[in-house]
Amino acid sequence: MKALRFIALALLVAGCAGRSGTSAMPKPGKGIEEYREVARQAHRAVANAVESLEGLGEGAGLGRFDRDFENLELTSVKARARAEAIIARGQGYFDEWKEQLAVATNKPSAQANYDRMYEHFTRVRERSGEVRQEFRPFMAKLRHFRATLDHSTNSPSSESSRVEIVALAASGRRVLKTLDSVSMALNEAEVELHAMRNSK
Amino acid sequence: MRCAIQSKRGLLALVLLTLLLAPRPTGWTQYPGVPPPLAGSTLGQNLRNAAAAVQTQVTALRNAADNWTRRAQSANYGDADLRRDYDNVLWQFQNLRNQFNYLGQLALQLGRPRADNAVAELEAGLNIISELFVFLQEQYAAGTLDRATVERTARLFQRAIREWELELRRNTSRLGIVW
Repeated sequence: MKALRFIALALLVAGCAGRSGTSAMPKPGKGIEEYREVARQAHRAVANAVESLEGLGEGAGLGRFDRDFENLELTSVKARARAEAIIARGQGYFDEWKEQLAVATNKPSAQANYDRMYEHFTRVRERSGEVRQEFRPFMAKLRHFRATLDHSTNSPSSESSRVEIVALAASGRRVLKTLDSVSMALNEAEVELHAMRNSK
Repeated sequence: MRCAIQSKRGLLALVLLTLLLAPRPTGWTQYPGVPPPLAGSTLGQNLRNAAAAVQTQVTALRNAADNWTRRAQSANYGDADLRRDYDNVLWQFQNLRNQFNYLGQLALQLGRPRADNAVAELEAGLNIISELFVFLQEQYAAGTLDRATVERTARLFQRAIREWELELRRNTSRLGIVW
């Protein structure tokens, strides 16, 4: 029992030495930077999955699609979880950005900076809502589509599969658009934060 | 393997789905039946105990997922195997949620936005991973679940849980856990 507890503690301690979360205070803009990175990774994963999906309709093998789809499943969790958390926590989520803002800005301009950052945050939050709205049904439909290909009677190049592929690819492109949109909002927020830091 | 549709199973799937997705009314309510970890004399100590309990549970879930993935590769993997593995993994997953909910409740007591956000992100991650259960339930209820689909989903679940575990570790400091 003691040994198990020790192992669990040791694993978590080892975790503390990971890439992030080692310092008591986050670097200014870290939340924005991280979200932008997970959005970028998700974008790449969706783009790859859409491309290999379309390849299926043109007679390509399932191997590449399966790899891209599995990668998308794993990569998308982070981006979607981030979007969900921002939507669910709302103003509460911004408080973390606010903490970072306090590190990055000087006192006299604090209120103006706060207002500007809050505008950016609101935009990011709205666009995160769009990500959520498009991503979840896309993933659900993709899973069902892949499952139909496990049935020996269904081929990716059949007429019904092709129709489904076209619809799925369109859905994937809508996801890409929402990810572009949230990335753009995050870029703008980061540029603003840098400007605030430089004027400190 | 093609699973047959049975009304009792459909009902069971519906009950499991409801349990899995039912919103908790006030945020971090625990499901009954899972004892919380030992209570310490300080919030910091309670957080450490709760984090260790989450880690223990995620290890148990990972092992269950590893076994499921390995067994599902067998050509003889049948309906009874699927039900046993599915129930076991779902049970371990629910226990992880319970343990994590308890950790989340404690982290919220810190009153730090960073901790609250980390809890929300990790909780959302578990919700998204649970979509795989919903997917399997739907396929099963429709009688269209193939062994290949089970195998792929089990492997994906295994990897998703590993990723979640890594995220948990990356967030220890954000969650206010100091060792």
